[in-house]
Amino acid sequence: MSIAADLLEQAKGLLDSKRPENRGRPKQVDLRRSISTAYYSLFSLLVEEAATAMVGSGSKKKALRGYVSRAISHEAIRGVCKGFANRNPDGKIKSALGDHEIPDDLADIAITCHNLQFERHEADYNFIRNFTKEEAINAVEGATEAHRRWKVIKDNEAAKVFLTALIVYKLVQASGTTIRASQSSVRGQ
Amino acid sequence: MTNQPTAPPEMSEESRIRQLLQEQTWDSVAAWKVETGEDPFGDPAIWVRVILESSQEFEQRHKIHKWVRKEIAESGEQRWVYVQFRTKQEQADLDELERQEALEEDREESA
Repeated sequence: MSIAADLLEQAKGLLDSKRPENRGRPKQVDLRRSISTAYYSLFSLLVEEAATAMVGSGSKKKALRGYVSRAISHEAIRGVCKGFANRNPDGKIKSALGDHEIPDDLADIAITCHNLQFERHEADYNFIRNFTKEEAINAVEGATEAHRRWKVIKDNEAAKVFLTALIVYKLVQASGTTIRASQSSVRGQ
Repeated sequence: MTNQPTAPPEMSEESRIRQLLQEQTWDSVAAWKVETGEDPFGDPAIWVRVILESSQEFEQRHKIHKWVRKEIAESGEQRWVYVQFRTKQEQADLDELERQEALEEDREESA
């Protein structure tokens, strides 16, 4: 199994009331770890997909995939997800999208990822907030659904732009140039 | 204190958003709690905490989540909307826990 899938299973396991160690009222630490792990499962999935899309699969390219993965920051994830969730990405990313529509599944994944990043931040750093099982279940089920939807739309053109945007987000932000596809190629004339 | 009539207080933005959400009745929703502010990343945001009558399936939570975002966006709002879910029982338990914690802290302070 991939790291992303393993993390998702771990997040679910922390809430599984059938496990003897989870009987009774859920511990705050388990709820926090579960929420945080749910985010990291989705983060890992998107980072792995972006790195593979850029450099390809196979053991010979493992190190290169590792470098690409490290280039993707939580800030980039947040910025790109916000744009795709609102169907209004940064102008430069929008120009790369051309006429490709952002499908509902991709917008939903982006919303979930942005929300999970916030919840993960709360779970890891906000020590005065108490979490509930419903909140943790919502985080884990949201991540599970995002994993499922990703399989459906991963070959979509907008999804490919989304992955590329995760890698180049900071560079695109810093660059003053907007590269536009020619009108004829975008419109297929 | 005077007996002069005062103008009705202007509705807070949290109240305005809560009122917007209350326009539709959901059997599974007991109450809406709304807060506004900055998220930890420095972006302005709205938090809608949905207090559920009881634990719900993912599909129902997802439906409510989508509806909340859509309603607020259609009111012209640009801020990110975080939607969180708790059951009525969980909220009551947390309120009690926080009340007890506050009492304990006061006791320790006065000792």
